[in-house]
Amino acid sequence: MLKGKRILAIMLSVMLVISLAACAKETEQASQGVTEGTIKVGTIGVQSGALSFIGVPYFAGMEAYFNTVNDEGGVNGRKIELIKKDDEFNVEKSIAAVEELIYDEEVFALVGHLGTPGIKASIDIVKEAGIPDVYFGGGAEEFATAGENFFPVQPIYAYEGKLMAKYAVEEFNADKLVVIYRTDDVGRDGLEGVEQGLDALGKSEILSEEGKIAFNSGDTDFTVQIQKAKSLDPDLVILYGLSTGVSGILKEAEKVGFNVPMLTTYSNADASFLAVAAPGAPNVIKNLNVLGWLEVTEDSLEPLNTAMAKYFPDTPINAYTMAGWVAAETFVAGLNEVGDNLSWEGYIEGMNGLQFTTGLAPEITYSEGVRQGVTKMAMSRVVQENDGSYVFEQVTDFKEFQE
Amino acid sequence: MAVFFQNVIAGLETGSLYALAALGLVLIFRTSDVINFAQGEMAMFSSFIAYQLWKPLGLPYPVVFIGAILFAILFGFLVERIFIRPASKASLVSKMIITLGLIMIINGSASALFGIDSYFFRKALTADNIDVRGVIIQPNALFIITITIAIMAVLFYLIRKTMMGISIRATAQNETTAKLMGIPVSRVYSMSWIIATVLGAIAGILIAPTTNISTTMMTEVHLKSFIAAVLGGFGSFIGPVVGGLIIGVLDNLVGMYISLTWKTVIVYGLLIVTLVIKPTGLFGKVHRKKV
Repeated sequence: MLKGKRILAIMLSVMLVISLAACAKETEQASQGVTEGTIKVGTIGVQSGALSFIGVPYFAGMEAYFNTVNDEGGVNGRKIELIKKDDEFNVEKSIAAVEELIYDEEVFALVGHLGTPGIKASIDIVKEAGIPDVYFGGGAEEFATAGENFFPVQPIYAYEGKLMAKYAVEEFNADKLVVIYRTDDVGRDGLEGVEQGLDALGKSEILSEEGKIAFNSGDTDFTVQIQKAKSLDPDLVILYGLSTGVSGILKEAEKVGFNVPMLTTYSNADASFLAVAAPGAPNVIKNLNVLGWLEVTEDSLEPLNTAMAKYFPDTPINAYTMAGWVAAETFVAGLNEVGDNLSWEGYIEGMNGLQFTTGLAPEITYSEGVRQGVTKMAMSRVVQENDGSYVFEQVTDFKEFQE
Repeated sequence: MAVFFQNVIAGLETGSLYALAALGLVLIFRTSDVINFAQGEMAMFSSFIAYQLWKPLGLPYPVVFIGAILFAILFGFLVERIFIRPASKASLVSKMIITLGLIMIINGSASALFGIDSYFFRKALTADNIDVRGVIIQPNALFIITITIAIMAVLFYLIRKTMMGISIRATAQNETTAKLMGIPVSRVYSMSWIIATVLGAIAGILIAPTTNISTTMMTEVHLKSFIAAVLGGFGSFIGPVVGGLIIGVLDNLVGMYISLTWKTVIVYGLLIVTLVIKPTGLFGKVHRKKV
């Protein structure tokens, strides 16, 4: 009987030790999506349909970077496996894709989710799961406050608006400001940022209520906006909207000879914007300035150009391509930071100490509770080259808005 | 006062483009009772052809314009022959669903053939602006307004005074009787699709300098042309033109003098009120069948 009890006690002890060992192994284990040789990541965005002109170069840039890293042996011996989901810029499809990537595909992280409406709609799902979510193809203010597992990179529109206010006051010495903004998240956040920035600088009076002029995303006639702006005789006009609307506004300004300094968002800091806007507004465009968050030089673009020529020779290289590249670059910078501690908590902890300065963006840093993304931006103006083409020329250093 | 007239003239220019696109919609509707939801996409495709002739091939603008029109003739003919005619016995709803499917086919083809970027396209007339007491008028705007009114007048004349017009009206009223009267109904359908595609192409080419050439260039214009046709009445050719001009001018005046933020709500709210009072549109007639 005693011998039986002893055997039972030994067996229970062995089971306890095995269980404890298993538990210990569990805590050291990497999170989902990580194996000996691979790290599985997922991305979502528009890849087909009318808006695919954004997603195609964007995802090509991202994949080109991952392919380059993989060809060079991966990160700490692990190759990155990218799973792309096409949401066709549809919010429901975007949410479904996020859930599928987290729970069915069991990816380690989400990288470069593209499209503000879809990203905003899936914030709660990502927050609840706790999965690292690196880079958003959008600049809504919510991304900066969503939580510790969110790592926005491209500037938040509201922040850019603040910086625009700083440039308006310090670079343009504006006493009267007009903001022509698109009536969506992009434009409204930008306008709000300008207002907050002016308020912080004690210059709220330079932007009157009449100076806040709206336009809709589908507008084709900008007569009213330009007539209103012209009647206010401003020192600077801030154009907060995306390419098609802003190029239409510039053409209307050219038509009526309304040629004052203008400043637009980083979303338009691209050669493709100049290609459609400049021919219709050859004089006004020379008075256009733009903020930029990427340090675009021949040297800094060289790795991207080489990778694109190798992997996606037929895909255009533009601001979207660079954005996709930076998304991948930031994620990999985080991986390098954490080493082999590839749990979600480990990655988030590693990213909290990130100070990445060797990529296309001048500096990407995160610390506990701080998720502003890129905060240093420089201003460029449009200049005409000898061959008649238009290019951006950087005219200021990278600046930050400090309250 | 100069500001008021500036807004009115710009509104007439934009409204003319809505009207041109709307005339194509109305023509197909009057012939076959079908609403061509792909009218905007067909216009976009023809505009891309114009761009290809202009930029990559470097042809002069008149040649580009005529080339795009010739393409539109072929395009309209093929669309009717390949997609619409085989479904001639199908219900109206099925035919309209075919035109919805055409949106996908044409948009997908344009993306595949011409790419996904936006491209600048020149104006029809690039002469210097005219300054009339502070009102800046572009010769191109006058050209657009004139061409719209001229096309409306020609269509009106064709429908009212020619054998072709009688054939179209007879086919619209009763296809079987029209056939029995010796009217080549198939040819009438084909003709209406060709003319509608040409009208769409003209609208696309003329609006491209504003919207740029892209696969999404006609989205808003097509929607507004549809509203113009409903407002003016699908039963006449004057209606869509007046409807288009009203929308263009009202958009600007409400934006200028009431609110830019609430412009869309106010303008389209007023249009709905108009339709509640006159459901057939401003120039539409109620057709009563005699028993």
